[in-house]
This record gives sequence, structure tokens and C-alpha cells, in this order.
Amino acid sequence: MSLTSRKEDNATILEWKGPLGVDNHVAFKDGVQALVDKKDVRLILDLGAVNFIDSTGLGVMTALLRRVKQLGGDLILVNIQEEVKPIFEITGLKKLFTIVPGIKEALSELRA
Amino acid sequence: MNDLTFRVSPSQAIFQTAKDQLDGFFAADTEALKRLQKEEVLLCLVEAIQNARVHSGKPQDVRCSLSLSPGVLIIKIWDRNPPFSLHDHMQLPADPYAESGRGLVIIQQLVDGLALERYADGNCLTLTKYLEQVPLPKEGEDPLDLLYEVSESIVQAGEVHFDRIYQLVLDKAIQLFGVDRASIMNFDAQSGSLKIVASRGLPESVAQQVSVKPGEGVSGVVFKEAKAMLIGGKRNNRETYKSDSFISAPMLCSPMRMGSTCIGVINVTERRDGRPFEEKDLKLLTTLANQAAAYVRIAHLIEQVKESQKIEQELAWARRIQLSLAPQEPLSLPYAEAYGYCEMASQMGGDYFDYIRHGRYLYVVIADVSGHNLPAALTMVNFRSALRSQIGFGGRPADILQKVATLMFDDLAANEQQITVALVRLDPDTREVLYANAGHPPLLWLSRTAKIVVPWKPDGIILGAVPQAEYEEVTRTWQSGDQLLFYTDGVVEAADADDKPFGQAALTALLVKYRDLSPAMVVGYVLKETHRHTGAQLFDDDLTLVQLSLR
Repeated sequence: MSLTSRKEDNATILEWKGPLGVDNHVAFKDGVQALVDKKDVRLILDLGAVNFIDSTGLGVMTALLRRVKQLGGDLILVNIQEEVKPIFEITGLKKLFTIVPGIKEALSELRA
Repeated sequence: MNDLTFRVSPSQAIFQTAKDQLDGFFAADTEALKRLQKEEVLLCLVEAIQNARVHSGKPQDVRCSLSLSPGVLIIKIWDRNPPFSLHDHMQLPADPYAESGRGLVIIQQLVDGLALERYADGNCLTLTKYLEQVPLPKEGEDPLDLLYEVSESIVQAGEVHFDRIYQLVLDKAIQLFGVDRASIMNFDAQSGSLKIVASRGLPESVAQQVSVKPGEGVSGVVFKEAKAMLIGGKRNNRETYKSDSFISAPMLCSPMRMGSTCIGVINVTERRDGRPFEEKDLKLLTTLANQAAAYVRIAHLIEQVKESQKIEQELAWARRIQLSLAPQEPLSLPYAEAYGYCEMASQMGGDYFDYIRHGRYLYVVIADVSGHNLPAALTMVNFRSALRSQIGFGGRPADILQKVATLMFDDLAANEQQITVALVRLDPDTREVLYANAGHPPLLWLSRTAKIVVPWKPDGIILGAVPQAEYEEVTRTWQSGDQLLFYTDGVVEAADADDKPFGQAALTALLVKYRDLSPAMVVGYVLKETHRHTGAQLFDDDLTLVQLSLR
């Protein structure tokens, strides 16, 4: 469970592997905070290797979304796995986040 | 039935612990797991454990239990936290970006039932999840058409009656198997033998004479062993089942079964084209026999119902009379508003509430006669008369209860019945509430200014316990906006599938939550929550609520 990031096309692509929730949200938070501190706020979060998200995991994502929007950036979610889709629906967060299928779509979304 | 209990200590990772426990729990039952959707169960478990941690002041173990019985999974999470209201957490946070506050909403969306109860020094959160129903495998092709046709004929016949069923089944058998002779025999308990109850192609005189002992002849053997039989037509076969049977081979004989009990047999014989019967014919006849047995069972039930219908009708009348004795309209006075509701567990009940005005006073009463149905209802009516006539003197609640207790003691003792009563008298001039209680659950007093709910109960023994009783009387002055909830124990004792009662704490929480609503709305919400709590469980006690709002 760790956060990796790489730059592409003026955006930062973040990847988290493993569950995202109550036991490790602090690591996630610390990782993204470092980026936000560097004013990296055009973010793509790749959830392709995340098969579990709970309310705490959602909480750190909404907090991050608020922060980057305040700083004029955006956070786009990609590669959401089938098993975690329901939680976005239940909590209505499907509408709050920009969610696109893959990185390619996210990059063109950020360009727009 | 499969049970598992485990603890999650403050140092343990919630997700991994929950996942490992679930994997172990379902290792033996992958079928149940498939139907439950493990991701959802895991998410609920993680959220529930996290919820318990979040609401605790200090690190503590969280105890969890999983219990899987056919069709339902129940998860319980125990903590040692102060009370908290589930209702306050049933909404998504107003701020969509909020970092927390979604856990219980997620659980609620994924389970079929969610309840929180206070126990000892903590809370118990109960999650109920039903397994999805799996469709039954489909049976073979032909028999379905056959069943359809037979049931269609029986339905069209309008009335389900034994004779009619037998005739329809025989007609069908003759047509299906191309035979000249068919009969249905039922076991006659009186003679201890099988007798023909319907036949085709058999002289009436012969049919009446036939009597076969279980174990004798083809019919007797089929009946005794509850196993269908095909007799090919060779002479020696016939010799094997020696009897004075009217039937000649080739023949088919199938038992009519209801569950494991055999009620009779169906025989078909004398095929017009002379062909022997085959195995598939036997299967077909068995299907027909089972269908006939099912309808015979329905006919039996209908006969029973018809008998009880008469009694039902009379009870319905009595029920209507009893319902008319409760206030028909909500109470609306310049200083008080009240709404009451009574839900009876059976046709008639022993719960009672009333608002009675006498002079400038308003009396509000709630009472609960032990037992249900007619005996309880009769005593309730008796109590109502006694109480109303005593109130006619305009006395104080304690004196009224004392007199009614004395008046009714002999009858109550003779019938081994008891009555709990809470009686208040309101005086709009002094804003004084006088109150006496005979073993009834406390009233809940919601004080508008202090913003608290206080259970209120003076001393007093249940009616019917002693011939002479004295009742304590307490008094309180009301402020505008104060509310009083009267309820019978059926409300707080309403139990869910695990026998966990609804509880006074839940009732208190609802009263606080809905303090700004009208009495009718409060009563409505409390009823809704009790129903939600009990789920599919039937109420086994009457349930009555009266909400009084004071100005």
C-alpha cells in the first residue's frame, strides 16, 4: 500500500495499490499533501489496483478534491474497479468526482 | 447454522482483520458467500467496526459476531461507548466534501435491517442481510403441462371439493393413458382399509364392496410402501399380489402422498389398445397423484377455514365494537393536543386509551389488560366502564385508581387477569398534572425548557394483585411545549428476529428527535420505527401509544 506518482502531459498521475480506507488513509493523505504543497494540483488518481474503499477512504478523496479545487486544480478518478463502484453510487459521490474510464480520457479532460 | 465471534483490538488493522475473519467464516460455505456478495459484507463490517471506534472516547476492543442461518446473515458489533442515536447518522453529510459521516449511511444502503440498542454500558449495532433467493431448478417438461391442465380445471370448477377433484383427476387419467378403468382409493381409518372413493368403468356395486388392507394386493402394497408400481401384464405378477382385486394387469398404481403421509392410491388399468404401460407412464401417474393429493389437502384446509369463518365473523363484529370504544378523533383543546393509536396483535386486544373531560379537568388514561383476544377485550370494556363512572365524580387519579382496583378485584382474581394503568388529570387553570400509576410503564415527560426526557412513574400496584391498594400521586406543573408520551409495554418489548426488544432508550431518542412534530406525527414515527425494528416478526403483544402535547 503506497502512493506512487509520475508526471505526464502537465498532469500528475497518482497510483494507489491495495485497499484504501480506515487502516491506511493517513499514508494516502500524507502522500497527496506533499504534492499539493508543491502545487501539483492537476491530479489523476488511478484506482486500477484498488479493490476496496470504505467511507474513510472516500473522506480523504473528497478532502483532496476540495483542496485541489480551491487551488484551481482538479482531481480525476480513473480505472475504478467493479467491486468499488457501488460505494460511489450509494454516497452520491459519483456526481461529485469527475470519473472517466482511463488515463487517456483523464488527460484530455484536464486539457479541456 | 454457523456462528463466529471475534474481537478487534485498538492496535489491529480493521480491514485485514475483518477480511481474514470473513474468509474463515465463509470457507465452508462458498455458496452462501456467492449469494451474499462478500465485498458488501466486508464493507459493512469494516464500517461498523470503524463506527464503534470513532464514537469511543478511549481505545477499546470492539466485539463482533457473525451468524449465518439459512437465508439470513446477522452481524453484531458491540462497543462500550456512550449512547448515540442511529437516526442522527442516517443522512449523508450536508457538505459533499466532508471527510467523515458516511459510514452508517453506507451500511444502511447495503443491509436489509439496521438497529442499534443500548445494553449494559455500551451499544450493540445489528446488521441483517438476507441471502438472495436462488431460483429452483426446473423440473421435466411434460408433467408441468399436465399439472397446469389439472389445476386449471380445478380452478375453473370454482369450488374445491373432494369429489370434484377426484372426478377431474380420473377424467384426466382416462384421457392420458387411454384406459377404460381408473379408480382412487382412500384409506378409511374406521375400517383400517382402502376404499374406493371415485371410479370410472366400474359398476357402482363393485366399487362399494372393494376393501383392501394395507400391504395386500397391488393397491395395498403401493399404499403401505408409498411407492408407485407398474404391473406388466404377466400372470405371475398378478399372483404375487394376491387379492380379490377388481383390477387386472397390465396396470399402474401410484400412491397419493402429502409429505411423508400416504392418503390413498390411484389405479389405472385396461388400456384400450392393449399396449403395456411404460416407466414414463408411471412417472406421469405419480405426478398426477401428487397433484391430486395437494388439492385434497387444500380442500381439507378450506373445510377447516369454513368452520372457523363463522367465528371470525363474530370476532370481527366484536372488534369493531371494541375499536369504537377508543377515541375516534385526535384530542384538540386550547391547552392540549393528543393523538393515540392502538395496534392489536390479534383480532381483539387488551390495550386501552382514552381522553375524558370532566368539568374543567382533562383525564388521559392508558391501560393494558394481561393476555389477548376476547378475554382481554371483555375485561378491557369492563375496566373502561368502571373507570369512566369513577371519573364521573371528578376525583383525583390516586383515589380513582384505588376505587377501580377495589371494584374490579374479584373479577380480575377469578379470571387470573391483571391490568396496568397510568392515569393523569390536567387542570388548565393551574397547569397542574396529577398522576397515579398502577404497575404501568413510566410516562415519558419531555421538558421543553430543559430539553430532556424524564421517565415518570409514581408507586402503585397492578390492578388485580391485591383487594385493597393505595396509590401514590405525584404532580408537576407544565410549561408550554412540554410533551407526555403514554405507551404500553408492547412498544418497548416489540422484539426483532433475535428477540432483542425495541427498548425505552430508542423510544426516548425518537421523542427527542421528533419533538417539533405534532402528536400524530410522533406516534406515526414511533410506530414506523417499531415496525422497522421487528422486521418480519409479528407483534405478539398489543401496542398502544398516546402522545400528549401541552401548550
